[in-house]
Amino acid sequence: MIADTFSLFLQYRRMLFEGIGNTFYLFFSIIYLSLCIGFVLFFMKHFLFKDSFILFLLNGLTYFTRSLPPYVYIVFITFYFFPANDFYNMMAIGVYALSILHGCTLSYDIKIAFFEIPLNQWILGKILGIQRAKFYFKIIIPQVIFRLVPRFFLCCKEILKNISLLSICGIPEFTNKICCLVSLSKRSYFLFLFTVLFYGFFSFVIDFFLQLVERKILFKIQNNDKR
Amino acid sequence: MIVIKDLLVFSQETLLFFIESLLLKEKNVFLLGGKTNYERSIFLQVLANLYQKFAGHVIIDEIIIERYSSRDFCKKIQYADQHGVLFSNMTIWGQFTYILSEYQIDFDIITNIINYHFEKVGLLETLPYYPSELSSSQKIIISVMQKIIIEPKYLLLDNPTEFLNRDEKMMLLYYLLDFKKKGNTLIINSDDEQLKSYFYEKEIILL
Repeated sequence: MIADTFSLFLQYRRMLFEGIGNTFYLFFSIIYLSLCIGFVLFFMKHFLFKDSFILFLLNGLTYFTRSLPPYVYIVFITFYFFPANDFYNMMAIGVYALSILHGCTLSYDIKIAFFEIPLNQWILGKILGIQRAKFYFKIIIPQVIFRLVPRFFLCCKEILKNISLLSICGIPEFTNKICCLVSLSKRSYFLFLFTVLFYGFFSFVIDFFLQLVERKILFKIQNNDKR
Repeated sequence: MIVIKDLLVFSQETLLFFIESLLLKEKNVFLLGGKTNYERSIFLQVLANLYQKFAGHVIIDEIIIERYSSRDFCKKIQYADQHGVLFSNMTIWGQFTYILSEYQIDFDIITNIINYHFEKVGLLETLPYYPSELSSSQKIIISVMQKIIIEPKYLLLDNPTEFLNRDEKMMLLYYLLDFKKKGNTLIINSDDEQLKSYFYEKEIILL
């Protein structure tokens, strides 16, 4: 049995590794886009359009995206909102849809991280006469990043899981080109086993780094907030 | 000139007396008395013009105070309380260099200034550490030094020795004496009898 599975692995290794490469590519592109969208949304909601009708629309958008299950959201966007005939266009639209979804959740996390900063830090900057722009970049934004990192790693785990939903768009994830073979072969359990192991290992890697970072950052945050 | 209308319930006479006495530099240390500790601390904050949220309280009288630009204002008046607030994402060394570089001082001079001040207080070892790694008493002393290092003319202190040991209190009092000897004024709100016996020169009673 072990020999059969190993032979299957050798037979389909190129396609499997292609699929892993696609997954990493999608993962990092969605993270990058969702971070950008998250910061832009936060900036627009709390600084630009603070007391205007546009804030109402932005809040509605975030509520809509966060309340729907990701499967329904992706199908709605890719098949009804921006319908495309091509496989690759569908995939791209799915990536944008996921990045908007996670950007909305990240904007909320950024807001929590921003307003968690104690008031005395702002007052100290005002007392000492530090210029506002420098004060934001040197003191406030590093503290926001410190507080955002644990929540960001949890968001990464969700992104990893939701990438599998992009197979709905037409290009299967790393059962690329072998989707028809899976149904015919007797050892189809092998491929599902491989997917489970891959997701489990990758999420373990993220958890490992999250714990390393949390130990150093949260210790500092807890001691700073104590008096 | 800017007229400050909204103030807390202090009589005009006490405030005018306070402002006039600031101009007399014969006696440089003023201790606040009368009223509760909370109201005395609010008085200091209103003087420092920092806590603008207190505007909107009871309107009594119009008081005219000279208004400076923000950087000049910070050079004139500084405020330090008993909590020991520091920038949490920077080391002590980094904070002081950043603050002094804002006032356009050369880096070589900055290192000399920082070493001089920290040697006086005996906290040279704390320079490479983050504020979360220090004790609360060290943070209180360093926060007072943060304001003194800018060399303001008037320093407003709100219960500076409340959470300090005897030795740390003496360290801070010696440091404040040096600040006073340079011709600057101290305005202190405290219930500490040791501080009063050490520093007592003129008392202002709030009614």
